[in-house]
Amino acid sequence: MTTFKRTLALAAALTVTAMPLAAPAMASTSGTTDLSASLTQLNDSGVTADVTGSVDGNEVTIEITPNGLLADAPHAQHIHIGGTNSCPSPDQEGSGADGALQVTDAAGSYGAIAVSLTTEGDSSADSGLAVDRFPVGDASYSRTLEVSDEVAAQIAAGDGVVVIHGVDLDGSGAYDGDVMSDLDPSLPEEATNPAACGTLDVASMAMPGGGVDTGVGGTAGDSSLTYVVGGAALAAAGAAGVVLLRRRTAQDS
Amino acid sequence: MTPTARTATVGPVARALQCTAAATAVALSSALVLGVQAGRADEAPATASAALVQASSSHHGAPPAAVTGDGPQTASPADGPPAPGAEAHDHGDLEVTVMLGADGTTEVLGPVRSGAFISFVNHTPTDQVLSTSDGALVVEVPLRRLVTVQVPDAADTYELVSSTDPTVSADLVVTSSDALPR
Repeated sequence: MTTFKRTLALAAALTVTAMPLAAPAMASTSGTTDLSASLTQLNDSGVTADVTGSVDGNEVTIEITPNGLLADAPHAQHIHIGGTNSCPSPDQEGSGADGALQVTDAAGSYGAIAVSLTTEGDSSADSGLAVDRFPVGDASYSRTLEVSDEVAAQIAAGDGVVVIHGVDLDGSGAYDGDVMSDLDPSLPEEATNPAACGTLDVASMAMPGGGVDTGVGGTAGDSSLTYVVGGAALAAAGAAGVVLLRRRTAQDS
Repeated sequence: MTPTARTATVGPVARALQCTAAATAVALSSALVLGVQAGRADEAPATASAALVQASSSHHGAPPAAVTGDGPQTASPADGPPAPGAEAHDHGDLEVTVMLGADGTTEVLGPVRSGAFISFVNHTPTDQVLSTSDGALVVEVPLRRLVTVQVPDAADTYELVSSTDPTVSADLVVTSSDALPR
């Protein structure tokens, strides 16, 4: 193989190796970050939900398809940010009736309300208890909301957690019971206790041709690790390529 | 071997590619350093988040006492002085379409769309049953409940009056779906 061909081969190899690192950079510069979440039950609610969405500047688009929510009842839903940016264990108990997990019991996991996923009007944390502006039963949800720069950046970094509230703990078919909500003492806890939770992950990007999963998803920490490890590997590959070229060039001469 | 000999062997295109490879290596090394720095920067928000949780805990942290008394509970977490960081964990005030107030007044948020689901909360001293005179709409609103009903499809003003306390009433305006902006 001639020096020219070897050089071309090394350059091609270096380029291919660099693509996984370049992909997240390309995604971040495109302006849109895709999101996804798979919500699982809390409080033995049996509720699940699929969430997709995106962040584009200050606009956050969220689509939710829930299953198993109490019918004909409103279900508050929010993007929480803070705590450990995670969901509590599904079997975690709290301070509600018979150990029911109340909203603030899990604040250490999912933090505070950052966005109220209302059907209309305001979507700030101030609308966290805007009962009649949340979807009813298993109604699907889709809305594009405007958020602050800080919230948009945190969601794009994978820090968001989607929580759907409202659990019929006693199976009565309504929000009732003797234990009241930790958010508003005029409401039964069933109206506000979390029913399902899922981390709002940054969607992974598949490489063209279905080859390599870039592994962009996960938390901000995971993303940083990807950059560090990828950068180290590519730097080593580049340096090795240069050394090899020089050696072979010297041998040829 | 001399530098002159090497220059004579390697063509200009190959030399250019070598230079590109070397430059790429340098750039990627720089990226590695930036990546490490970015990783350190990511730790700062995590610390801030931890502080937020601590602040939030001071707002709602203590397990709330279970309210099981018979009387209506009208106190709101927003009534007291906010704890440090309380704004960061704000959930706003309770907002329902019809709020039966403790002082006998009834707050109705405004017109609602036909067929919409609306909620009632009762802050009066006793359970209430609201109904229209013709019985077209009857809503039982016990204490300590969040009652949600679907309003009729027919656009109209429904005058709801309590059967147990005639001073408790609410005029519910139902409009066509197109009449209200979303």
